[in-house]
Amino acid sequence: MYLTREEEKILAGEYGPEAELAMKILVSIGEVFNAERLVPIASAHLSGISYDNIRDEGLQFIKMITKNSHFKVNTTVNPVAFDMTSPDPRLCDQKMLEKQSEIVSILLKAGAGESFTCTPYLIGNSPASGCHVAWGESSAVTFLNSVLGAKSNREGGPSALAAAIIGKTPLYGLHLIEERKASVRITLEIVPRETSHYSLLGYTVGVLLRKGIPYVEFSKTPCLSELKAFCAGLAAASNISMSIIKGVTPPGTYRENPLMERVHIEENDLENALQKFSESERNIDFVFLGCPHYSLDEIMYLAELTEGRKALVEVMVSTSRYIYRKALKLGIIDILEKRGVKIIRDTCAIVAPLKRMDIRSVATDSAKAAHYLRLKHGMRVRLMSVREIATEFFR
Amino acid sequence: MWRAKSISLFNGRYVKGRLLVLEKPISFFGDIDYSGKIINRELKYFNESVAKRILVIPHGRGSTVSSYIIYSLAKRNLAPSAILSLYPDTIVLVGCVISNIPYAYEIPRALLNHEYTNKIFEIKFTRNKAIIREIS
Repeated sequence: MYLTREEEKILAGEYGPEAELAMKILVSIGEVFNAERLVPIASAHLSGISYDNIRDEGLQFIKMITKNSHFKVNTTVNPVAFDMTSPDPRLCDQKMLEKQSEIVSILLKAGAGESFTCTPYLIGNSPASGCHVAWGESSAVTFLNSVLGAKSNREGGPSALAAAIIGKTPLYGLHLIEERKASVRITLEIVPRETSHYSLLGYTVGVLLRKGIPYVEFSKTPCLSELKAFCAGLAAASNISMSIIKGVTPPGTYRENPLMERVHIEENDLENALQKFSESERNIDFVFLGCPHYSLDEIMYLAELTEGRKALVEVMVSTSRYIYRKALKLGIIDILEKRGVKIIRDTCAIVAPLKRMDIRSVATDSAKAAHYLRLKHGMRVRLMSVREIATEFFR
Repeated sequence: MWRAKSISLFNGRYVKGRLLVLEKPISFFGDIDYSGKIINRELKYFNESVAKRILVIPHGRGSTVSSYIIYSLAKRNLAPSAILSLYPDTIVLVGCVISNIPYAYEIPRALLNHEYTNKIFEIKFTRNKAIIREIS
């Protein structure tokens, strides 16, 4: 792999052991995946910062590698283990509070923004089409490649950190236009109507394909929330980090491929995928919305659907603090809280230690949330649209 | 003698030790406990430790937290002495890079056979290769 003189110096330790280690990570990945060189990035997004996930091992590593380093590019970070603006005592004991706060203060000191969201593209980290970036968080990477037309591989915690410290990433995989080529054409025999349908559809495509890049043509151009849901579902079920969506993916950010195998998706396929998430409505004692973090539109839609009614079970909606502030100004937070809806910031049901709460069965509008609540937290889950949730669990 | 690919970071390294072959993909987050012991009952070497073994795997799987767990095992001298993988994956690769554990990939498929477990092997790492020899 070709390295500039400056990069050689960093690798030789001339800029300290932290930059040396960060460079070693990038060069090693580059060598294994035959990257020709490193490429400068416009931004980084770091996943794997919830103490509930990374524990002391991750904390120690982040502390070590960011010592004396400052992120070279605009860097946002994923959600953490609890809402730092108002920690929920059910989720967060003293140890969790201290350890998570330590991780956060280390990252902020190194120059990360106070983002704590899986939707960096909704809060200002929205790279232009064609830009190279190094992002973690599978749903965000997939949205970035498919919708924004910027370029990133699916980075892990340490590799995104290394990229943020150096300001570069190895040039391979989805950074190369020739790799951004659809492998399969999805033909839809169904018309998704609700955001949750897009989520389940993405999930179903992911389960069926596992890898590669699907080409998808919707009968109408999906809105941002629908694209967000589709990308998150797709990435949660597979190693896929990009789809080419007709009328959405910017031309020039992918290669045309006329010789594609076709895969039909029918109602039946969605129903098969839904089977894992079909807990009886009667057993639901918790509703979780906001995976990925709800946009302002989605929060407003929930307010519209629940007008004049109150929640019958605990309802939690997660969003970023940025969107929260906007909703607060519009008075929507107040309205929803009076209806028994709790809006949480900085965290979500996947990265929070939800096991500590006494929850039996969860309803959600997100296939990604359903997938992880079932796998990681061992919960029984029902996937439904937010419209159905408003009808069923509000009176 | 077998050959596999490796990376320049491990150039000049030499490892000798007992093999532990896991024929199924492994997640360091969930399959292995804090002491390096295999705790997934579905794996053949349930209850054995990966500590100081030459670990042979098809590839890693699951969460990127695995990289941090390799790092933690290494800090406490409980990590494998080398990892040989059939396919490269960034999770195990990065775990090895940050923990200074020699890593090779694209090993011959024949080596991914549990019959080799407990056999003594030596591995020499060059600029981009690993030379693997059985010595027992």
